[in-house]
Amino acid sequence: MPKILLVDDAAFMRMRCAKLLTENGYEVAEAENGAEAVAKYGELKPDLVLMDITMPVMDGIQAVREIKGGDPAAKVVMVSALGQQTMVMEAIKAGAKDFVVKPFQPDKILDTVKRHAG
Amino acid sequence: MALEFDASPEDLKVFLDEADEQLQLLEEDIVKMERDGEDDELVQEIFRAAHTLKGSSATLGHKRMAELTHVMENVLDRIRKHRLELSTPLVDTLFACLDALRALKEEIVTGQESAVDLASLVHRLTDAGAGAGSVQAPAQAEADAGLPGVDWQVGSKLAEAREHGLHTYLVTAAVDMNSAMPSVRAFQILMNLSQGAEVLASRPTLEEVEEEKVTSPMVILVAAAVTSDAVRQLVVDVPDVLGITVKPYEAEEEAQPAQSASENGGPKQNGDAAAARGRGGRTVRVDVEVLDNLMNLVGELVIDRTRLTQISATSDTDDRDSEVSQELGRTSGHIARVTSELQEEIMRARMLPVDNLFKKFPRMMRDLSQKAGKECDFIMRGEETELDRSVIEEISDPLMHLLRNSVDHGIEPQEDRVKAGKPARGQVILEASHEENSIVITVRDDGRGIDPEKIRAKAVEKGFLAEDAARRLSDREVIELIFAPGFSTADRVTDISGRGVGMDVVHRNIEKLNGHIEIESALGQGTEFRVKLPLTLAIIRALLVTLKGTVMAIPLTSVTETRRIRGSEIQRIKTREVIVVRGHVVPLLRLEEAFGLEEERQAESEQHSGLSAQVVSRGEEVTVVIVNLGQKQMAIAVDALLGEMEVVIKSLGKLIGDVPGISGAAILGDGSVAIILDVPGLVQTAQREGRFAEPARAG
Repeated sequence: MPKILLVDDAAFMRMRCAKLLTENGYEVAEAENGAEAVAKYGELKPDLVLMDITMPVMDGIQAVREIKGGDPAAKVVMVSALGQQTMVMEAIKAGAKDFVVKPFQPDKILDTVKRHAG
Repeated sequence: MALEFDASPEDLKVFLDEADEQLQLLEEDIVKMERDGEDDELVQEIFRAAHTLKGSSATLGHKRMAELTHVMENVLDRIRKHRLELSTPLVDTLFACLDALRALKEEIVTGQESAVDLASLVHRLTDAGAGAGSVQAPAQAEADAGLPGVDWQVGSKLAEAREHGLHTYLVTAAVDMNSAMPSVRAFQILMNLSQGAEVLASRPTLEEVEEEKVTSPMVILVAAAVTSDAVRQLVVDVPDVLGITVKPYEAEEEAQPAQSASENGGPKQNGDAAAARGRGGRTVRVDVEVLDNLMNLVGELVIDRTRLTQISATSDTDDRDSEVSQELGRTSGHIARVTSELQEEIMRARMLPVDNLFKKFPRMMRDLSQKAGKECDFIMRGEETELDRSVIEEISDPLMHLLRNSVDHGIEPQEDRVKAGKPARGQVILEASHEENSIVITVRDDGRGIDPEKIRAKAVEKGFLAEDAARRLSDREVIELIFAPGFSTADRVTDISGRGVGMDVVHRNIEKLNGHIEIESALGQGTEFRVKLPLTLAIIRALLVTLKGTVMAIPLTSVTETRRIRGSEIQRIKTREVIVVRGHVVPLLRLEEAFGLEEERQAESEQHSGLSAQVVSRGEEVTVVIVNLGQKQMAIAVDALLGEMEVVIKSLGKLIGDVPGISGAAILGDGSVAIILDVPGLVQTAQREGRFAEPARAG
């Protein structure tokens, strides 16, 4: 069962997303900021990280850098609000594979996760 | 891969000769065009030369040559029609094409395909044609290139990629502009492509994408080591992309030229070739080897002529009235005359105008000054001066080095020149001229000149000379130190010239040719190198001398004078013998010591036929031959002088090999062998032994 690490500072978002993914057969772990995501990534070695961009403590872009720094094969998909193109591009430069936009549409999220995590 | 061409060997020869001519013409004219601007007539001539080459190579069936010349012709045509401006990169490309054409031409000789990367050149040309220098309407350029709006400053990158064996592909990707953040999709496409390929150009560019200025479809030119499918795989996963195509980027023009060239070039070429043959009507091409053999045979004849003259002279005394004797005298006189003429004619046949050598220099000088970032005019004079082809071949490298040296070390950077009140553009002059029996080639620059003080300091620092010895040397003598092995005045090593091995090698090579090099330099005004060379290497005029029964030949080019001195005039400095010639102390060399000749052989000298000594050193008197090497003089003690003679140089052969002090052997009229002294070698040996390091003035 593919393991997904959900990173978002908004508990609501994490909950909705976790529900969607578990219903579709994924194992889900959660982190509420970049720093926690980096730590959990090391522990859990998830198949995919869904990463918010704007977060306290450590933002998503920096988290991508650190995760990719520790594991170049890490797969990270950014979850971004509309209008954050520049940041998404920066995240992609940092090693993120793809992005999905909020407010999220369930089928798009599932598509993306399926494409990257199987 | 072996190549075959549908032509007789004679046709091929005509083709090759003509191709050589056209390529040389192209090279000269392109240099001229870059220097003097696009003179209509000149461009026309360049265009014609390329056109002729195209036609001939197409007719011959040399597809790759035809293809390249066709594309060149297109570019030149646009220059001719003022639709394209000449730029430095374009000139570089044209030169690269000429180099490639030479290699392609060689394929005909070798029958092997060369490593010329035609595609990259074709692209450089087409890129240049559509590039920054183009004054063509943009819309037209787009249609030509099939790549709308792409920044076409990729010529060199494209060529480089192809040089590295990469494929080039044109990727088009239609991004769904209605999706969320299409600019990020575009960005992903570019990023993904750059992970497995090199993005050479794109529309929109990466910068535009980052500024969210995205248009669809995207057009991207990439270079990759992988197949088009693999390139496609890089981007196929990017969401919100409606369609992707990946096509090998081989511009359609590439396939066409060979065809069109052979179609319209064919009939025309027949005329050209006929014309070429017509022009060649009064000349016959002869293999160099044939000339060399002829030269050898004439050498033998010259020997026999001398012998015959001697026989005829001796028989005269026996029976001067006999008809046979008179007949012999007349015939031998006639043969002597005919042989001399024959010798002269063959020498002439071996002579080439130095132009053959010089003409490769303008391009080299252009490239060099470009590289050194210096503005420099290059002027050649006396290109029609003729020189034996063997000498021409040998002198090429030394001259190239001298020229490089002028650009690199002579000519100052522009700001220094202006500061010194000199014209901003430097000048290097290469000139050939006749001087008696030799030819003089000078390389002159109006650069910074050589600072004798700097060299003095360097010589002391490097341990070449003691400080007081350095001070005693004249400026001229000091400057000549740059020819000393291992001596270099370059403050820094550049990639153009000077790694500290240059000048002494030049010096040695020129002296190997029985020539010598002199240097004149005025600080702040420039430097002149004067290379004096014999007209031929095969025959020299020599002074024949005897020593302990051995006949030796001293090349006349090295002989300053002969003197008879009293034994009492020989002085000693430490253990070394010297004599004083016009106030100068000159080392005296005893060849018998140098060569270790045995005393017993003296007896044999009396039996020596024909040429036996007429003047024998008596009592205290010693005959010396003063030889010179540049500014250095040395006296060689001999037993007797036999006279001047033309001798044919024969190498000593591998069995004997290089003997210090001997450069070869000559066969004399009586069939005996004389040793030819290697004066430069002897002087250098003496120098190594420190015989010139003594004070330069007597008493």
